[in-house]
Amino acid sequence: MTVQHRFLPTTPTDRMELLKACGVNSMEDLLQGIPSDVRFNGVLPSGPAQSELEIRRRVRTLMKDGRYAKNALSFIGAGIYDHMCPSAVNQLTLRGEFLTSYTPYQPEMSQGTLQALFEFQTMVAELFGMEVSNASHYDGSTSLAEAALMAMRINKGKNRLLVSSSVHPEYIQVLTTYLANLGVELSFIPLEAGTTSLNSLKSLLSDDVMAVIIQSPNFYGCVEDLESLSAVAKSKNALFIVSTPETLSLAVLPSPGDCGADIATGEGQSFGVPQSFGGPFVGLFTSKLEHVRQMPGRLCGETVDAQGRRSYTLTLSTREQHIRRDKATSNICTNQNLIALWATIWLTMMGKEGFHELAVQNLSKAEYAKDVLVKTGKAKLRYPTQSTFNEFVIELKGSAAEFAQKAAAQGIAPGVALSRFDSTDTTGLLVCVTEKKSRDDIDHLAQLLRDLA
Amino acid sequence: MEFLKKSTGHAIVLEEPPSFETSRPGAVGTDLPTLDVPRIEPKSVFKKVRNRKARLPELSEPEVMRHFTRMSTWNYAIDLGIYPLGSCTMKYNPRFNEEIARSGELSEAHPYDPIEWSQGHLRVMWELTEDLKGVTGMPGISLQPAAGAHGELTGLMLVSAYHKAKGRHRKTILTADTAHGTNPASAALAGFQIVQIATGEDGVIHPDALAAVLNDDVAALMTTNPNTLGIFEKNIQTVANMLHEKDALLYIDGANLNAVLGLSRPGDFGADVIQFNLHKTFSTPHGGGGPGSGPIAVSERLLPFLPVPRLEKHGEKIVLVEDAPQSIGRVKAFFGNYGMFIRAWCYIRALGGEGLRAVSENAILNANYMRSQLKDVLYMPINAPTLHEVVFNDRNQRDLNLDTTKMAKRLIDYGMHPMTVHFPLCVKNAIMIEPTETESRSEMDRFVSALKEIIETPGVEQAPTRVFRERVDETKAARELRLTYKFKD
Repeated sequence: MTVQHRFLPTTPTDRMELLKACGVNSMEDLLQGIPSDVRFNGVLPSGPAQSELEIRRRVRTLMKDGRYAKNALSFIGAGIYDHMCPSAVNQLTLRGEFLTSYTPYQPEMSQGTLQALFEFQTMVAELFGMEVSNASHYDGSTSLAEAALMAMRINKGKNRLLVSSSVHPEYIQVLTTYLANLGVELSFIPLEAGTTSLNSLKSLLSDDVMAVIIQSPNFYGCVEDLESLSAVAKSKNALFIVSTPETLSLAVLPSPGDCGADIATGEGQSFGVPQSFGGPFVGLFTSKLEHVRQMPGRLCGETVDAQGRRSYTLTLSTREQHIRRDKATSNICTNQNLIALWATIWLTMMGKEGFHELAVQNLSKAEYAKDVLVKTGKAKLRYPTQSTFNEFVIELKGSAAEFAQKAAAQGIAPGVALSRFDSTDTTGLLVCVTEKKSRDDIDHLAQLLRDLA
Repeated sequence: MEFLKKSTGHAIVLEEPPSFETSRPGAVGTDLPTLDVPRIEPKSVFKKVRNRKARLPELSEPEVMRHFTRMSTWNYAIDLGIYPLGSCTMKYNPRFNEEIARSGELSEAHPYDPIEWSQGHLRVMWELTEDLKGVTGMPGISLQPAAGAHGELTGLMLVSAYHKAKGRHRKTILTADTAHGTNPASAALAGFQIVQIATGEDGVIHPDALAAVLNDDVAALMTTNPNTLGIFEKNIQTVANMLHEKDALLYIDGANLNAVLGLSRPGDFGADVIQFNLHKTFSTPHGGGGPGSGPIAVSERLLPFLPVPRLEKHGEKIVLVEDAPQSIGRVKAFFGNYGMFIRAWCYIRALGGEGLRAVSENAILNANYMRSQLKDVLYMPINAPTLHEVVFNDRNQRDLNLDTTKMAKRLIDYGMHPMTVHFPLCVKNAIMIEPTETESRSEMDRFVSALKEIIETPGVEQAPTRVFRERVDETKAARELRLTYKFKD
């Protein structure tokens, strides 16, 4: 017997009528297409059906030791940034017309989604100082991996890829996985005092390098000299690819486009998207116009309708898998549409001045934090000569992981111990300070350092 | 038809230009906290700063609210009516899931939080993993892939790693002509070449057709089951055995899993890898095209190669394990689209094991009802038992100057999203209908009567006209590329 459920409109009476219309007597008759030797006759082990009340209760119990229940204070960034978000963003993205619509393949009934994508592409291209943006990608890490694949297509015949050692370690892992079967030789450019070594880049560079990948601000928070790195890359006709996980920094730092980037990618989570234990986020992907036909992912373009009115539609889809199949520029089918919409609304609400001011607040708070943390005498800056945006590495006298653990017991996450990514780095702590931390919060962290480190 | 007002579902639909045109200097959309530390100017810190502020729009909060709300009214949505896109599984999205996933308890966590704070989240991931093992009867899960196509890519990387570990480089992936476009594209990205197998007249893969192309270079066969004709691959057990005899693997595209929950498990017939599309089968919202989530399940053979980090249960504690020497590595930063896991987890809890089976039974019943109502007007090229979707074409309409595309576009004027058209590729001018289990009989009847009325009144050339925008010029969009707003300054 088919059980009744609130998600299923068909009543037992309806079912009888529908079966009759199908010319059969029972549900079982409709399942004859499944051969009996591969039929499953048990019950799936997901337990009994639960009401909303029961599930809510369960969630509360499960999350009792979580960050939220503890009202914990956190200085963790490292690729995911805790920024403010106006309530209107959440409310607007709950509208069923946005939330429960399909990919806008039928432009006549998807103009809302399409215009939002057009605005998204415009803002993202503007922020990166690039000519074109796609309609979004899975996240920052996969955007970067796809940028490398795009570089392979543009620079066919070249087989080396140079990647700065200051790129987010998890981004590097993803890149390595993506390239494993494609015959690309990856080399890592060492660092010098926290940023990519220009001299090492020069010595690693050769005519068979397809692209050079740099992250700025880099994983350690330091701002890279993109202009100089780009000039070196171009001297051997390598493409210059920039990755920006903390995209709020684009409000104040020179844009990747102005620094000579051919492809620039990033993570749009910074645009008020909830941290959500690591996803879903929104990958940003921009390039020069000359390479647009090699770009992966969906693109939204402006056009007109039969009455000549301004309209939008997905375009250049001949690059994509549903048309080109194995010759497509990428296997990607979806974008991260709802999160792209979230970012678009957030950027619209921040506006030209607010976005800039928010970045200044981040910079100011991080500089204040550097100052008070160093003054404790318990820590020093690992890269004192480098400029940073809202994240920096402090060097403790003892184990950073132990300090973080002790602090966690008091409801504070002081940052990420770098031993998480490199077991030989026992003393480094990556600290992020956004506008959401008050002066008191920062002073509290300093006190904790005095007491525990 | 009576119920129709406007195709987008709204009685009042207003024009709304891009925000860059309504922007006015001085308008403020949000308040920032008062800066309680000394203000630092960027130019005092950085050698170089941005040369001018980014040209983001300047609008007040109510203007932003109206801007996006007006735009939303130009969209069709599952909340408004039937969305019978074959193989896309557009079903109702329970709002409870949305509320839970967006609550602070779940949405504020950071993946690098101290592990003691994260136990609840890891527990949710663990339980979802167990649910997915139950649905597939397969022993290994990775939740990491960000979407279905990403899951496909990950699955094929596992296939590649499997053969490499055996010291060989197999280059061929077989796909059926019913395959989604992502299958060959994912295979190419994983470094394989594609050989396509034609399905038989009954719409399924035949052992002879497989035997003709199966050799020692075949790494795996990729097929959707039930396939994109809505037909269960009845020879799948034989196909799996033939592949395994050659030590080739069976990849099942899980896009159509909505048809077989609790009715058939891929692990039972020897599948080696399958990807889930949580946004299809487990009702996480499509969101106008993402975010998706594409976990994979694998057989014993592929366990050593699964991506890292992996979830393991040590006593009552759930831990993340990074150390796995044979792993293909990481396919996405952090742990996957956790926000989507929560929604799927809530959905599965709400239905329970028996409810999941009821989902598939109702999906099958509804597709068969559509078939029964349309089989006399539309031509059905393949007559085999229908599961969750049914495929017709326009053969009966050709003399009427009516084709698949015209029928689809005219449906829009009836206030309904068209079905999938021109797919699967093995059926010329295909019309592919998947009502899903969340449509009532009356919704399906509306769709059927609209389609019948269209067929009875051929010759309407201009559709759609009752929409916010009529016949959008896609050729112009591609020829005269305008991908960003052209600012005046």
